[in-house]
Amino acid sequence: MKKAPKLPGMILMDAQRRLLPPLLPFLFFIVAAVCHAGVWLGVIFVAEDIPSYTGGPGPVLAVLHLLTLGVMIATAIGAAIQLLPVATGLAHKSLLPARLLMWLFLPGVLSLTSGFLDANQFLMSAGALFVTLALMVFLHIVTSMLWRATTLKLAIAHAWISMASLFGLLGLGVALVLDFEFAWLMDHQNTAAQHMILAACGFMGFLAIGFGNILVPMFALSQSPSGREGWVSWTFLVAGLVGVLAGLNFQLNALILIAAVVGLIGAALHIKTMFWCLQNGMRKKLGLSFVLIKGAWGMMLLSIALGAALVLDLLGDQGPALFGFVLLFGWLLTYIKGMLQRIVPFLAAMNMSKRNHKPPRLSELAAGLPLKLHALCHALAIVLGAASIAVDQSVGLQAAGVIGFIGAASFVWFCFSVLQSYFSYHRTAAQD
Amino acid sequence: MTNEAQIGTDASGRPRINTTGMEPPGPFVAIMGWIETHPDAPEVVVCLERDPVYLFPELTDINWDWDYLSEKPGAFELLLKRLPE
Repeated sequence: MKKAPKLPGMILMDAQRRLLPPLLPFLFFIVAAVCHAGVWLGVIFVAEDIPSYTGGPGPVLAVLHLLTLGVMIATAIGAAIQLLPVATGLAHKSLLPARLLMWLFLPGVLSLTSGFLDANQFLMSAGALFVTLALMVFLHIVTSMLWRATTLKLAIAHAWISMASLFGLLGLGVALVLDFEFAWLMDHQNTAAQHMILAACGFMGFLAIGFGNILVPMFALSQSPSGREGWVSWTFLVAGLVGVLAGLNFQLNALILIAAVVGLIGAALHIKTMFWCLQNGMRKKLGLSFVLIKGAWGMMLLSIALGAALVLDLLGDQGPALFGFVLLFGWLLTYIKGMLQRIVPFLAAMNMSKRNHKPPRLSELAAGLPLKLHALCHALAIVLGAASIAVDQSVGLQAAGVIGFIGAASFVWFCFSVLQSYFSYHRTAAQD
Repeated sequence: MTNEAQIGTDASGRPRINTTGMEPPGPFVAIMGWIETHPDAPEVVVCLERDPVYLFPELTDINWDWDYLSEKPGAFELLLKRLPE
């Protein structure tokens, strides 16, 4: 087993500066897992309103933000604050912003989603304020690290676009919430569409793709893919994002369509580089997580195609909801869940390797059954949910909500079993 | 920055992987890849610029152990050993 380092202070200082107190990122992952269950529960109750939803406060917007903030951004925060220091080799200058983030973000999400649910302007405004402050702190944490990073140029370039999008989406988000009270925006729906594109494609999409460029080769034990193809993909994706935003802003459907095609090429190129990693990696058995990740890649392409079809008015009245569902649930949620089931035990195990006590194997950290149940239910819920929206069948959507909830509850079970192993390890290690 | 790990032997004749100058996840991939492609190797010395906290969960998972041989800021040398089944 590991012997005590000759200069323990030096080693542990270096490692610990980069490894946060584990409960800090874990808290965000637990929040994400619990909100995930809440989202599917919400789908059951608002199923009738989802297929025809085009915007505005109410239960659908509350469920939507429980997904985007409670699940997606909570996961992004937990992953970024821990993985960025490990990947870049840079330490957080201070843990205070990361701790502050937690105290601002959680009440903010609670207040904002409650405000949307009841169309309560005070709660919406207070929630928007807290969430904005929290995400500005997050922006500060990440950008201060990106400034100092000298490696991983491609992943860092993705992260910069993600952070720029975050800045933009926060500004539009606040404007939208205030518009419910003051009606000052010229076109609320158009602004909401730009807010959503910045959030889903700009912020989360670029973060997911950037992390993918590091994590997929790492999990597959592959060389990094061609840097040239990665940069071409990045350029197409940025052009696509800018084009869609400009097209929405100036209401130029032709520009949105061209931008969608450009974005589709960028996304396909990224997926091509990721498949190169999987084909050339030394580890072929990548488990259930990569079944979800591959499915999510397919959904990414499908969501862009649906976005283009929506602009061409080919999707009927359910078009906006179908596009939103495939983009948020199909692509981003599936990708996040695929990655999280690798990252959660990995981060726990990294924090179980420091004492003079043998850590458990990754495969022993949690039972396999909850992940199998989650993957099966998630896949079923996505297919059934999308089909039900397409044919405007709320009963099918309710069934998808029930199935999705069972899957999400299994994922909560998985996260808690990892935490249980973590605490049990440290209890035993302390006794030895 | 370099894409290739330097693979050789140390003064005691043990295989040695030097990942200095590699971008993440290069060091991880080079070390785990070497272990995967040398199923009979009992040990290997690895040199890294950073404390490889990310490596330990994977090593534990494949029943390998590690000892720190030397450590300086920016230069870590570890001996990785296969544990008996």
